[in-house]
Amino acid sequence: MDSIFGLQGGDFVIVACDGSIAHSILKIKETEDKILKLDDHKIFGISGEGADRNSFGELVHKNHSLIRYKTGAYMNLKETAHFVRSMYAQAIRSRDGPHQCNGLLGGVDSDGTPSLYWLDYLGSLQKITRGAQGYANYFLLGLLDNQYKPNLTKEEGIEIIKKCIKELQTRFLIAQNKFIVKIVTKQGIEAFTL
Amino acid sequence: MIDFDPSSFGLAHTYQKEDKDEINTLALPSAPQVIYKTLNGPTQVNGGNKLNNFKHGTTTLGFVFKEGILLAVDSRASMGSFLSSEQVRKVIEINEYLLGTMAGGAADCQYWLAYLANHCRTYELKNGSKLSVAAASKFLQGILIGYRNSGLSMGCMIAGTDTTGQHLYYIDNDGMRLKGDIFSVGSGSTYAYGVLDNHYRYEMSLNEAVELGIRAIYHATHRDTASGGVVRVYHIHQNGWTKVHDGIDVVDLHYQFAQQKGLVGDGDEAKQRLF
Repeated sequence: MDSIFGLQGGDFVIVACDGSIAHSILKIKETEDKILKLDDHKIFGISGEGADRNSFGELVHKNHSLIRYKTGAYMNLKETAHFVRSMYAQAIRSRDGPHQCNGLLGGVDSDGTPSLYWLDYLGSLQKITRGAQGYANYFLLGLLDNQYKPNLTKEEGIEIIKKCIKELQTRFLIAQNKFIVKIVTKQGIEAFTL
Repeated sequence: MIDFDPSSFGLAHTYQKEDKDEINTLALPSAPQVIYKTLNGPTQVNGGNKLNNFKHGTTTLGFVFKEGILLAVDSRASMGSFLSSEQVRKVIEINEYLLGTMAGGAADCQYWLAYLANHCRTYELKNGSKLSVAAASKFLQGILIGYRNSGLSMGCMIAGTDTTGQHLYYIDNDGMRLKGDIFSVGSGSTYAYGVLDNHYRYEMSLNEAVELGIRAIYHATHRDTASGGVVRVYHIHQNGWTKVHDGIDVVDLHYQFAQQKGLVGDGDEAKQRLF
C-alpha cells in the first residue's frame, strides 16, 4: 500500500513517499521515512511490507558503502542502479525467494546529470523520467505524463509533486496524510514533509 | 567477507550467498545458534489450532513524553473463551534500563526477551558500556527476521534509556522494527489508540501520563473481551525504570470512572430498564 513516486527534471530528481505503516486496519505510524539515503547524491525510495523494505534497504546501503571502501571509487547512478538490480536478480531463485519490495532510485552524478531508475522485485530495471511504485501508478501516471516537460526547474517539479499528493488524497481509498519528499540536486539532498 | 561455516548453525537454512559474484557482498544477518522447533510442524497463523490461537489477546501501550516513556499493559491471558490467567506480567524487565512488552505468544516473548537480556549483559561485560536501545531492538529484529516463516508470534515494544535519551521501538514477528512516539499493540489496541490519540501531548506531566495510560488500558479492557485483569504501569526515565502501578483492577476502575461521570456503571445508560 505504499506510495512511492518520483520525477526527474533538468538538474534535479525528486522522490516522494507516503509516511504510513499499516497493520491490518491500523495505521501504526505516519512518519516513516521510506526513502533511503545511499550517499550525498543518491536516494532510494523503497515500497514493500515492513521487514522486507527495511532489511533490503539496509542490505543495499551497506553493500553500496562496502564497494566504495573496497574499490576506493564512488559508483555513479547507472552503476548503482545496475548493482541494485543485480541484488534483486540474485535473490529471485534463492531459497528465501525474491526480496519483496520495489524501488525508485534517483540521484545526480558528479557532472550534474540527474537520473531516475525504476526497480522491481524480480530485477527489472528501467531508466525513466517520471514514475511510481504500487497503487500510486494508477492515480499518478496520467497526471505525471500530462504535467511533465523536458528540463523542468526545481520549483516546477515541487509543484507537480504537490499536485500528485493532492490527487492521491482525493482519489485513493487509503488515507495518506503525510508525505516525505526528497530532492537531489548537485548541491545535495533536501528533505521535507508535505 | 566473513566466511560463515553453515555447519556451525542450529537452523537448517542460512543466508549465505554463493560466491559466484565478482564483488563479495555482505550477507543478511543469520539466525543465532539456538534450535527452536515448532511443535507438530509449521503453525498456521489464522486457521490453526484454536487452543494455540491466542495471537493478540492483549492490550499493551507505550508512549514517549517529556518525562520519559510510559508503558501500560493489561494482564489477561485467554485460550479461546477460557481465561487462563488474569495476572500475567506483560511487561518483561529485561535489565535495569530496558523493558519489553509482551503481545502474541507469551513463550516467544519471554524466551527471546530473556535471550536479549543475556546478549545485553554479555555486551556490557565485553565492551564496558551498555548496549543502546536502538542496538538492542535491532538485535531482536535480526533474530525475528531469521525465524520469519517459523510461526513465531510476537508484537512487542522495546523501551529503554541510554546515553542518548529514552527511546521506544515496536518490533513484530515479521521482522518489522519501527521507532515511534506512540504505540499500542494487541487486540484491544484500536480502543486504546482512540483514547491515546485524543489526549496525548508531549508536554504532559508524569501524573497526567500515568492517568492517560491507565484510562487507555481500561477502555480497551472494557470493550475487548481478550483484554482485562489489572493494569500495570511502568515509567522509564533517565535513571532506568520505575514500576508505578503493580496492578489496578479494571473492574474497580470501571466503577470509579462511572462515578466521576455521575453514573452507576451498570451499563444501562440507555435506560432500557430491563431489571
